[in-house]
Amino acid sequence: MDEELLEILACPKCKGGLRLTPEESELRCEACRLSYRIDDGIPILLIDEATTYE
Amino acid sequence: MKPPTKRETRDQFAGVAKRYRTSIDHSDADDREILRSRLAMDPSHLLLDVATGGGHTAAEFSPDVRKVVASDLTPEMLCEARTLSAERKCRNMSFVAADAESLPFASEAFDRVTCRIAPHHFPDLPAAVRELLRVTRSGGLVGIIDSVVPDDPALDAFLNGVEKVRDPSHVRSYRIEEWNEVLASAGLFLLHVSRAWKEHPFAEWVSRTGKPQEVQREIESLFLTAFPRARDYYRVRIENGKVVSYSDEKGIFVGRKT
Repeated sequence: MDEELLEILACPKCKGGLRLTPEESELRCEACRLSYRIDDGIPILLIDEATTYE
Repeated sequence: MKPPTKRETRDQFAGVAKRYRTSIDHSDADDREILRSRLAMDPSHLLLDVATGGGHTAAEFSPDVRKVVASDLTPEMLCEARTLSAERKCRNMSFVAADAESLPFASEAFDRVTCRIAPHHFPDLPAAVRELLRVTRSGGLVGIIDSVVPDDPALDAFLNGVEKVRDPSHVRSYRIEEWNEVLASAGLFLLHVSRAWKEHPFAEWVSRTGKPQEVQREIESLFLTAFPRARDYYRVRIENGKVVSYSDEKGIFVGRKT
């Protein structure tokens, strides 16, 4: 994923920063405990499509 | 009538995404050239195009800026936008699925933000405009184009009524004064407001949203039986009992984030 893009991406819910998972398949918001998938290189940063993680 | 849910809007566009990449109405460039001249883009700029649809505005402006981020509620639409960007050999575009009313970007991240022919789909326009401004840096410029309706309530109701039959994701095309108020309330200092007529070839326009033939015929009959003021105002062209085209107005707004 483009580093500059990653720097400006934010959680759509809390607007906090996102962390790319090591396999680069998801972006995670640690504050909301929400995981946003990346489909074919496109981050799906939609709250209703996010999944929670422990 | 309740506004469509985000999922309903997404499903509506997912099924017909390609038509928006190839749409004459969306690729036509007259109003976009007004935005280009007013937005004063330069090669250092980071541009966000919200609700990019088929990606026409994002691809058109990509040579003018360092980088473009194109966002849309519908991932299938972003795939079409990516295809368009590849066809145009744009190498500085990124794509993000995002809701205009809760954008997934840091505050003040962008030098320029655009949104063209999309806000009439937003259930909460003031929320979307607040988000557009939040992600624009102070002093940055925002350019918006959308269908607008005249002050006459009957003409307003006619076109918004027709649009809702054609497109379940249509929420409302606003009056210029409504726009000015929403933009000013959100903190945009307006630099430019104008309107431009746009002619819609009927056959492509009516079939774009994927409605069945009987609904398309119903929409045609709404134009054929429209009250005379509406037929005149919207420049409905009829030949041999068939609607050939109609025209509506686009509002063009450019402002500076204060």
